Amino acid sequence: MQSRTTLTLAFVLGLVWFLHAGPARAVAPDADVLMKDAHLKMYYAGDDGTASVTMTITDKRGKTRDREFVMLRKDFEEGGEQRYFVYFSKPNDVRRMTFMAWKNPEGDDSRWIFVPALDLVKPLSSNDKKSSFVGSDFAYEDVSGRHWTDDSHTFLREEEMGGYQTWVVESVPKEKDYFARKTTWIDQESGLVLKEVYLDKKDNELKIFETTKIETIEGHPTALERKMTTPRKKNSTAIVFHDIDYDQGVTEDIFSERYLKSPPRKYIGN
Amino acid sequence: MKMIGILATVLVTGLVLTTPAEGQVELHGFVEVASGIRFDDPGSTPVAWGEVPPGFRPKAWSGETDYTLRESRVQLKGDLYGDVGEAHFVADLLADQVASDGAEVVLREGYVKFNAFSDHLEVRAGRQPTTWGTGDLLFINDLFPKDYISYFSGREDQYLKSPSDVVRLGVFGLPMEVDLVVTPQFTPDLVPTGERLVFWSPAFVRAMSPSEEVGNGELALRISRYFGSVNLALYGYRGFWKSPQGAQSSAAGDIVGFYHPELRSYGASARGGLFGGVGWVEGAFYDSNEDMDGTNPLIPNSELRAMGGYERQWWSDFTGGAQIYWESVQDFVDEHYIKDENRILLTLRCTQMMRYQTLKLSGFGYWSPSDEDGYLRLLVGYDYSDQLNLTLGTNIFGGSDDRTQFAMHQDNSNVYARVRFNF
Repeated sequence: MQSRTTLTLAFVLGLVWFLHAGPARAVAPDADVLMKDAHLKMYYAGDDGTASVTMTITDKRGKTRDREFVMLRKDFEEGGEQRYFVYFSKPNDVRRMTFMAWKNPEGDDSRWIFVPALDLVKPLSSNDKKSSFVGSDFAYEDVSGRHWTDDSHTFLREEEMGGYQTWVVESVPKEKDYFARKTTWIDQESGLVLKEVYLDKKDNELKIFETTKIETIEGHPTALERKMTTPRKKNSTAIVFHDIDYDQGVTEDIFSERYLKSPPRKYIGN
Repeated sequence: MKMIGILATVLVTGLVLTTPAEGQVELHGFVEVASGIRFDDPGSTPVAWGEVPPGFRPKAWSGETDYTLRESRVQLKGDLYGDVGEAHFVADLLADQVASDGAEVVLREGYVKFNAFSDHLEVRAGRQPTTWGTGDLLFINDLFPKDYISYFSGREDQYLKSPSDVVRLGVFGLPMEVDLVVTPQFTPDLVPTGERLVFWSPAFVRAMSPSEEVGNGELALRISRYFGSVNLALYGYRGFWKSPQGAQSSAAGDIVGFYHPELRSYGASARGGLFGGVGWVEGAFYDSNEDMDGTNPLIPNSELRAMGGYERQWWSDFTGGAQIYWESVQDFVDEHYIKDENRILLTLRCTQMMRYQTLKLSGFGYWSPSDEDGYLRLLVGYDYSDQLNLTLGTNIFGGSDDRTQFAMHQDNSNVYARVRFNF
């Protein structure tokens, strides 16, 4: 009697193990959690961060325009309020121009620009997050990150892409927006977004975001090289981050008009 | 000449502070060729109170009265960063065929910047443009010099602000920011004097500036603070009227000269985000302290000035804004003035960027319902590449009475083109 029970038990356990073994999880991951984590890793790594950025915009004829700037960011709340500076050094007509944004996921952002030739501090209209950032394929929303709560997310599947194991998530905006839906591929190992395709309601590709290089900097997985392509205009923008530094202890008072006019050299060096 | 000595000292100090051996030098600039022509030949003689002196006509050095702009310019910008401070300079090598015979070097910026008292004090000394206030091309508490000649002729917007030799102090770490600007030698606005632009004048004599003495300088103060993203500020100014609005008369009562009477001003402003755009209000009391009760017809009376404006991005890459501005002369006596007691001015700005912000279509218009005159600035700017920019534009003046602020420039309406190569 006992041996038969043991055998049955062993058989049942074996069956259970067989059915649930392997790399697949027992339960599909929570798409909201995946998107939130990816957002925090992409846009909120560390408490603050600085980076030198080289941006190359390529038009349909292959002609390129280069931008170089330094970004300085501080998180006031994980996934929430954030402030950042962009200090331009190239091309010459925007040299020493600076831009400051106070990001507010719950409402409107606040933005300012400083024009050194006129010693002018000018606040900018912030209602449009879809406006192109310095003439690139990246919109303001792409630079600061589209908040995961703006969309409803559904986990689609797991997929192997370019040597990375990814989760694939589909997202639909909760309110009418410039795209109908988007598909996101998230790298399982780093948690970063590898690719994101924005589609209109006819399933045409509006824009495609790709991360082309990932590296771990100071313990934070970082998307070092990114690209945004606008297929119907045959335009693309590639961004490369250098000299990344996290957690320098950037203080709140830095994000003021004073430092908009005079970049704080201790954080951004020169 | 004294100022050049002071400037030289400042620049040498700058080099010492920034120790180029350890610091870094960055040099950039542009080369630009610009040309602007009038719509009409300014053959008409201006309307005047008294008689037109015989033989008067606007002077034009090269005899080119058709051109409002005809120049080549090389601008060089340098920034030096050191451990103790920074130095910046901007110099233009200008070959101006309208107003001068040869080429000249114009120093637009030459200043040093350093911090003191654990960064609580910031000092910027030397030649530089200074701007504050909230208006869009309208200024109430910004009494820093403007170059209207360049502005009306078709030079780039940056040339509206005329740099001056100042010491700027910024005090930080207090509950508010305090900015003090000391201008040791009064620097007036650059207003048309006949070499390039025709203008209406009640008398055809040269204006005089306050003599180069200590005590004939200017002091400007701003105290400001952000409440969230809304900025509130208070302003004070002690100096002189920026254009020579005071008249000097002979014993017989003829006007023999113009000068800059003393001026004090006290004002305030507020600016911040509003319904996705930006809104602002600003006002000031201009106290003409040489004629405080307004009885002297040769000196401008005190005035109240105020404005409000709003700007917003209405659709992708399109910015539109409007302002309303009001000037009110205090103790007004009709016979003393050629202008109205109350002047209202409206402005409208429309800017559309296209093709990944390489193409800019921009319009800025002024209209005064009280003066019945206006001024329209239109331009098309194209960035062929990051290095090469082409700009085509026009300045159109109009109005019913030649004596009003914009209509007096009707003969100067022009169309211009600029080609700039950046490096």
